[in-house]
Amino acid sequence: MRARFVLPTLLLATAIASGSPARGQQIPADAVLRDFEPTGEYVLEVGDVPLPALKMFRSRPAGSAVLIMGNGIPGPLLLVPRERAVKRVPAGKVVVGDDGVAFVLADAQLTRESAFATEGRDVLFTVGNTMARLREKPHLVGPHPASDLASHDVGYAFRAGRYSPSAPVVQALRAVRTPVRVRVFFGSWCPHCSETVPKVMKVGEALSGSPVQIEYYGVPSGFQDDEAKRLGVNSVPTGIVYVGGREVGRISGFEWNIPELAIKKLVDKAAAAR
Amino acid sequence: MQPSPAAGEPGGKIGAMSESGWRPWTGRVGAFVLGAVLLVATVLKALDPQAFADQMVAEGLTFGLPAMTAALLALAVEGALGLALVLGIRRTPVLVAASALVAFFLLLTGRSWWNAAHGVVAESCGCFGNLVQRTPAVAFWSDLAMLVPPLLLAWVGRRRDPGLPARRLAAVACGTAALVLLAWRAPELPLDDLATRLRPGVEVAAVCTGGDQPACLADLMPELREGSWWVTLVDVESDPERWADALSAASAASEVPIVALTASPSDAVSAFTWQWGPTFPLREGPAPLLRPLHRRLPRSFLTTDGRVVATTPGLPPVPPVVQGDLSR
Repeated sequence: MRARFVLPTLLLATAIASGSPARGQQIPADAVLRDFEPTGEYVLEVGDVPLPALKMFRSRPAGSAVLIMGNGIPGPLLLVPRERAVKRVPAGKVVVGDDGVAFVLADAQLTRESAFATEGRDVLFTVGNTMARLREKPHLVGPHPASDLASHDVGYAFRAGRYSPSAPVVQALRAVRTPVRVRVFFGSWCPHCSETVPKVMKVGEALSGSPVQIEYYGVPSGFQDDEAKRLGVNSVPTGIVYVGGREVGRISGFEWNIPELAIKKLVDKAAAAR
Repeated sequence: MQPSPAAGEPGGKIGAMSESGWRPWTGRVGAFVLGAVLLVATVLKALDPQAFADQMVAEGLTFGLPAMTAALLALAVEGALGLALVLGIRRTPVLVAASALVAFFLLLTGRSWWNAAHGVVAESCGCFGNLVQRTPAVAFWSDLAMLVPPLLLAWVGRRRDPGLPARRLAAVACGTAALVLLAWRAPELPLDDLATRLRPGVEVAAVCTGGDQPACLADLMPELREGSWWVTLVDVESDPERWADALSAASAASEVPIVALTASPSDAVSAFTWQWGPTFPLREGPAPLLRPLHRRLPRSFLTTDGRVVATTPGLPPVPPVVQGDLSR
């Protein structure tokens, strides 16, 4: 009878000893090193060599800490603003869930790698004995397809994945006969846009191949942009909706909560006016 | 026979004789209206003297004095003239001083309008403090309409007798001292709801800058339209050690989500985030929208379904379960 328990016990012991995180391994109840969401705000340069393939995550509950992992650095790094320190996370102690959110396991023994300093908006530290610089990416300015937004900041794709547009509204928009164009003015520097624009991207994806086309226009911070000035755009995100080539209305503020509904309202208003 | 003047009132019966007819009444009305406008403006600015001082610095009007000293002096001058006119002192020296003040206001608002028309970023004039926000054009024309006609009427009906009435001058002096004292102590007084545009009952959607293209709080934070939120106005460059960790602790423990809002520049926000590691979201907003919402920072307000339901100086109330903090 005892033999029935030998194999499972051996397997469990092996799993524990290997240190590799199994999917079912316990997420730490401690709220400190959890809820790291993907971010594409930065690029890391080590020894002046940019490493764009690295994955980065940021956690507000963890005090705006930034987790960096991937090829090019010897193991995951955790930047802890409260301590102005860079810490090394042992391999295998970071779990990235199916939803894209990362956690540092409760039993991870973090070791201090270096201190960090800020230089303007960049963050400087050392990895091994090599200087590293975490640099903010330049803002997206001008017209860009949705794919550029997703490439620029993986956080956009992550948050887009969290949004489910209303199927009946999407269906109704797909059935529209007159061409509809939605110009979304946004700022890649704008925190609110980073929450809102991904929803629009998801709606655009759902409307792919339909008469409703969504375009994106990046506005620099300060709004010193001729196109934005010409169209009287003084806040972001602002969506200008054109039906049959004619502007029928704009989307701003709370209307972005359900972007497909905001677009449909304006399309219906234009249809009623005809 | 020479009539004897009434005690303390030079001019006496001669003055009384010159006060008959339509001119004196015209003068009284004009002086009272002008004085009342100046007094209201003085009181509104006195409620938030720091904002007035900041405006004076921005306009380059401190003349080398410390900003608050310049602000208090300016309030004293404006308040004294307003009181004098309300109390009917329509002598030439007072009207000359009032005319100079009106001309100065029109010069300021005219300059702001010209700057705005030529693309220079211009905030609306703070002549009436933070409670009244006007575009540069509106400020100029409203000042012109409110100040010039009563001033002209006051001149038409000015008193020509020599000297100044001692008792009323004493009243002006006392009143001016009271106004300066109010301005000096106002920041410590619980007047935030009175002195700013943020008070219980205000709709978030109504909190906007002025102008042709207003910026509104509801656009900056559309999530405020639904549910309950604590919003804390902060200056990330001003003494963050007093509040940053405590706000992070409160944010971690609060059942009502807490969001911080700042008019600080983006670089300062970035530096703050890397230094203090906040656990609360920190949003940036334009200074013209946020400045009229506070006298001192931090200041917090609770919204429910798009309406301000409570305000408090400092940080949101900390839940009793949170006793420790994240201090270094």
